[in-house]
Amino acid sequence: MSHLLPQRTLAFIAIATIGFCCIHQNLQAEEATPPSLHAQIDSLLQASQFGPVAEKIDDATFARRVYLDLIGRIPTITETKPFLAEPNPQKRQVLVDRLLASPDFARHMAVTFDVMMMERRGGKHVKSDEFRTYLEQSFRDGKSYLQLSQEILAADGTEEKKRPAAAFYLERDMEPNLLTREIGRVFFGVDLQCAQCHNHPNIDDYHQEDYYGLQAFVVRASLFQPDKKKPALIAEKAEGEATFQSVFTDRASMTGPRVMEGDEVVEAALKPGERYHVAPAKNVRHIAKYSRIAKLSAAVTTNPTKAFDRNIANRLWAHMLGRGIVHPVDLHHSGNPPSNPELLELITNQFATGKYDVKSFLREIALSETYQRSAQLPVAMPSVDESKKQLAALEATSKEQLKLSYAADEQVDAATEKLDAAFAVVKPLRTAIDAANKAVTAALKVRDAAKVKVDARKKEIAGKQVKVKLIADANEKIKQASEAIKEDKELAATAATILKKLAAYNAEVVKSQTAEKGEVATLTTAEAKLKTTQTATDSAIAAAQPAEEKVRTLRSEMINQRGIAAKHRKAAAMATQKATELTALVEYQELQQVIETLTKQIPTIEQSHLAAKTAMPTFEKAVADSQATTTAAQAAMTLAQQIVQKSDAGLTEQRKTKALLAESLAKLQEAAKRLEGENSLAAAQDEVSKSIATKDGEIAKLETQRNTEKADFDVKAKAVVTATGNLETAQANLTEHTKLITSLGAQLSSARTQLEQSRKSQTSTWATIIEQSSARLNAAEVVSLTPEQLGWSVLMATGQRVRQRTAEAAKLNKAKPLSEEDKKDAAKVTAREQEIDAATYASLRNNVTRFVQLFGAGKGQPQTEFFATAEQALFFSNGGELRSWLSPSGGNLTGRLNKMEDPIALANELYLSVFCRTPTEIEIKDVTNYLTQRKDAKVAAVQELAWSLITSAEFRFQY
Amino acid sequence: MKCTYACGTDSHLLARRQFLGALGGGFVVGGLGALTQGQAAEHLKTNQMRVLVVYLSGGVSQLETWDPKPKTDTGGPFRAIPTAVPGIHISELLPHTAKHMDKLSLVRSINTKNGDHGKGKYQMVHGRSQMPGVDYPELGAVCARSLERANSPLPGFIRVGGGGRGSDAAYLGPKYNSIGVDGKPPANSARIDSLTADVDKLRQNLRRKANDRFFSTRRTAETDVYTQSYEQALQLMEKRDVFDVNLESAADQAKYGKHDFGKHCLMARRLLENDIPFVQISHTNYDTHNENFNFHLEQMGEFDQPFATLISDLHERGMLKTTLVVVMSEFGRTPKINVRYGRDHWGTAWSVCLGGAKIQPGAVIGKTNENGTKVIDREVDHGHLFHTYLSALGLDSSSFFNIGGRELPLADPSRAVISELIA
Repeated sequence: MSHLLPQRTLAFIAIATIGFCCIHQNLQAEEATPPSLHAQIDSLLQASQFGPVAEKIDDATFARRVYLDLIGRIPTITETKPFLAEPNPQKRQVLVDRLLASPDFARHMAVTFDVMMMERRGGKHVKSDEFRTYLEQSFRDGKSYLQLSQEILAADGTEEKKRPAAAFYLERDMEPNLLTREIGRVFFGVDLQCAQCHNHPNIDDYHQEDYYGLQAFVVRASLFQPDKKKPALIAEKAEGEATFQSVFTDRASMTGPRVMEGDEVVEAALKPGERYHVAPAKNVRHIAKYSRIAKLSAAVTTNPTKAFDRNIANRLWAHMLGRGIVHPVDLHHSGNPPSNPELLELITNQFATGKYDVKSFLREIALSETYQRSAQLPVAMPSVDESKKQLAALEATSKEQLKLSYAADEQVDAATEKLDAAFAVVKPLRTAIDAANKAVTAALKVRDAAKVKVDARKKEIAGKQVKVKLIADANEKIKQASEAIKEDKELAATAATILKKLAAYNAEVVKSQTAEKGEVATLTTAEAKLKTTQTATDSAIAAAQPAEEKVRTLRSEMINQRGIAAKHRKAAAMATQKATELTALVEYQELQQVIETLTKQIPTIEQSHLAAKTAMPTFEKAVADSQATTTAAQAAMTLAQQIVQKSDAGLTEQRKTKALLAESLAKLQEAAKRLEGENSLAAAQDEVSKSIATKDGEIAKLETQRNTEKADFDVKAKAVVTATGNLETAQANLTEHTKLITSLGAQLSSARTQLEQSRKSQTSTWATIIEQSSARLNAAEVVSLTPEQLGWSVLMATGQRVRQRTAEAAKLNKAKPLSEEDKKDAAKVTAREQEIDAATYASLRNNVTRFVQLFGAGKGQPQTEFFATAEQALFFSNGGELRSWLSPSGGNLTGRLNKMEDPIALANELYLSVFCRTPTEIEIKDVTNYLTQRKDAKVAAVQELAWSLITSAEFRFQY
Repeated sequence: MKCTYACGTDSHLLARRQFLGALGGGFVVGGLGALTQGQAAEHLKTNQMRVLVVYLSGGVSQLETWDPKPKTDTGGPFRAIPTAVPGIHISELLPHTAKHMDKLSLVRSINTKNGDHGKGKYQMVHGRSQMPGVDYPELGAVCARSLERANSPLPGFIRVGGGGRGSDAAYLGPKYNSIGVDGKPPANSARIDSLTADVDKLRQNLRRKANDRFFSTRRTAETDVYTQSYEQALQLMEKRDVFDVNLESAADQAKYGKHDFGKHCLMARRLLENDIPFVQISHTNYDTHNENFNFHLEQMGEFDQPFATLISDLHERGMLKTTLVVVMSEFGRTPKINVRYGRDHWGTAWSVCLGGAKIQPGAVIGKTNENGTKVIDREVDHGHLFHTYLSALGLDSSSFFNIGGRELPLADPSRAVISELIA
């Protein structure tokens, strides 16, 4: 036969090759139709995208990001440099594949899954290291997430090899409520905590039915450890139900085991006596025939629900993108909808159809453009009008969906009432089953007691029969002897005695056999009685069956109905969410318009303001001029007035003189009349008359002069009126202009304030837009490194790992030197390299533990909330660890930098090592200047430079 | 239907917006405050408040302290003495404290329905009974967060005695975990010997410059919190003397006594003066199943003088108005005296002494019966007390923390403040 084998094998290979070719061709043909997951992710996102989208990151940022996400540390300079220089356009894919193939990937996944599942619990029953090693081995073996979950959820700690898998249960002390919460969070993405005591007050979707559906799986389990020196195990009873009552509404109910979005597990009712492989007893680990824990692992893994798939797909997405599509990752519910439901659906389905293979899934994510987006968001906005139209539609959708959800809520209430009514029917039936079971238990007790008796009797009879046999044998012998030696009387007597004994013992046996008959009869009766009680239980169970079935059906209907309500709420929440995001985009643009308008307006106002201010002196001069004119006119007028007044005074004097003359003439004439012929009088009269005539002439002259003067005065007075008018006008003009300046000034400052406020609002809106944009994957999220990532990255950046590795290599090569022959064997060389890597990892781990203590959250707490303390900063600033890693030595960072003379080369080495990128020109200048400033202390200066980068935000965060 | 305070992160978002809104307006990068003016003002209301908890470990006897029942079958050998408040009598084992009862108050009607050390301590420091699957923050962590000093580099929750870091902040995060202080400055708070202050300034400036560059393109609330932690570290280095109790005067050291509890009281005073929001000291051991009376005679003797001195000092320095003082234990002790002259565990009717901040001074809440075997008026438990502590600090004990999108109540929502105790 054996000679045929090679031929057959060859034939098989040939067929296989042909087959393979065909398959391969088929695959290729098929591959043309379904695009890769990363292409699907990108096209899906492109289709639903709105608002600004970030650019693709450069090679340096990509390398840093992908190293951190896939192997948990930044790349070293020796890894970064060739990658940046590599011309292959496919180099990102090549890098991703190389990282996924490296042992560091499995190690990083072990850390990631350990933290995700255990949240830094560990060490009580299973050492953290053991669990981590188990995970690492699982990832190295390419174990699927499904199998991993199955092992973890089925583990009871009994099998030594699989014991680490039991850590999830054991480290939570198998406490049913704690486990309910944690299974919900870790495996189904729901934090049902509040539903322990009542339906969740803030979250519509979390109900007591859900909490207790999960609790029912674990409610029968407990920790078994009678001897503290021996490892704790998990034991499970066959009894115990998940019953509950709301502390708010008093509604009481119960549920069978059911995982989120799964069907209730229907289980056969077992009667007392048939429930255990090992019945409960002191210091004995009981084993139930029907294990609900086993059902949990089966429910999760043989028919995984959408909720189970969605949870892990979303968590892995969050691992890569720094944020879940649903975020936080353990709050899946309608009020916290996914940022992109289609994307979540796609990756959920693809992860499941991809056989739950974590590695290939992460690969696809890493290759997507979505993953490779920058954290920097450009300003690029959608049309305002279009957005506003959409907003109206979204608002309508939200209202409509909410209305539908209210209607569905009413259906839920109706379904709940029906369920509760059916449950009320089941209750007495269950009581009947319990009573029947009690009878079974009692009958069992009687039966067991009877059986014990029968068994004891049987044993007793058998014992006695052995004795009878021995005596019978002896009797036979002695009988022979006595017949042979008839003369020996003593012998004959002994034979007689033995014969008597034989009879006596035979009688004993008969007596026991008689007793046995009675006891067997009792046992038979007990068996019959047991049978009767069992039959009664069976019929009680059978009687309850339809009612139980009805309860299950109604419960499932109610849950479905809740699902419908939740669906509508989710649709409403999603519409609202999108509306909020669009509003921010519109707001930004409206503010932009305001800013632009103001930016244009302000210079115009400024110009007017300035022009008005410039014109001010003209107005002031006009007032001053008018003032001067007025004053001059007034002075002239006063002068003219004075002249007129002077003339008036002269005139009055003359007139007075003339009056005196006239009076004198009249008196002369009177006297002449009385003294007729007096010639002297006549002559006097003539003289006076002449004088009067002269006076008249003078007066007339004076009057003419005065009239001229008065006319002049009138002209001057008029000039004053004109000048005063002009002054008033000028003053009014000035007032008007001053007002204009004030108003322009006010306009200007208000415009400036408005501009400043608009800019502020715009900045804040922009921050909101950035946050929303990264939530819907238009830009990368900025997230802090995990404690492990930070620790390993510091060890890489400082070159401490290189230093340690050199030391480990020397140690190993000295202890177990490779022969010249070995050195030619590639496999042996690789093995040695791996050995050195492992030793390096082992010796550096404690340092990373220190980072976990300082930068990690507490045991059993979510590990994703960022916090920063002075204590951490002090560790970096004054701690011995970083100081020693930064002290120059051999191949470490500061050692290399010290050897460099050229500051540009030094800056390059520094930035590539710490920030994994080349420095900008200004950064090179700063480094150069600093080295010049500290030229007397280069060794210290180099340490200070390295320290400042390691402690900066760029190092602490993923971007 | 959904409540408005739902985990939908509106308020969270708002806080972030407010924060980021500040970035536009002259926010100094690397400066001291990460808070906007408005938030800082909001903080001012409660940031004067402090807490001192004196924890009497093992379960102090209420009958030998705050609720004596002399001349009854359960009263034991000690008398009750009058205090600064007419009508209030306490055990004669506390003569110094008695002089300051006008600054303190008593709750004599506590029923925690528990006689287990671990569970009792849990109740008293968490304000809730232990529940599987849930981990609540301790009072100290709740206060450290709620009374957080925006610009202080000092830790918010300090336990005097011992060292290391506690893990008592649960979901509030490690930032609010307790720090054990034993008279030495915190780890790494001294500048490296080889680094002069001037050179340190240089490297800090390099660090700030690197941050500024990073921030010109990417800046979030988290990156700011991170960079600020370095500024806090520098401030802490300036303040490391705060933790050195030996810098207190010799007279004060003598006044408080040479034993640990005295020293711890003085340390507490020093920390409170330096504006630490929450300080806890403890005194042990009160678990007197045997020889209850001898033990209490000795223990209260050690407790009384330094405690009274501390209250008096806080009062004289005007700090009592802003410092809540609570003397608590995991439970009281049985009125029944056992055959070994001891008293056993007893959560059914016991007392707590508290005062300062907004606590009404000189008040007595609740009553036990003639021989102290049960509460006959105003029964309360750890939940009510927890609400009351927070309320005495000006906090709304019915409000919520928002932790990563989760709304978590400060205190047990099924309990309420003992409102008559709040001034």
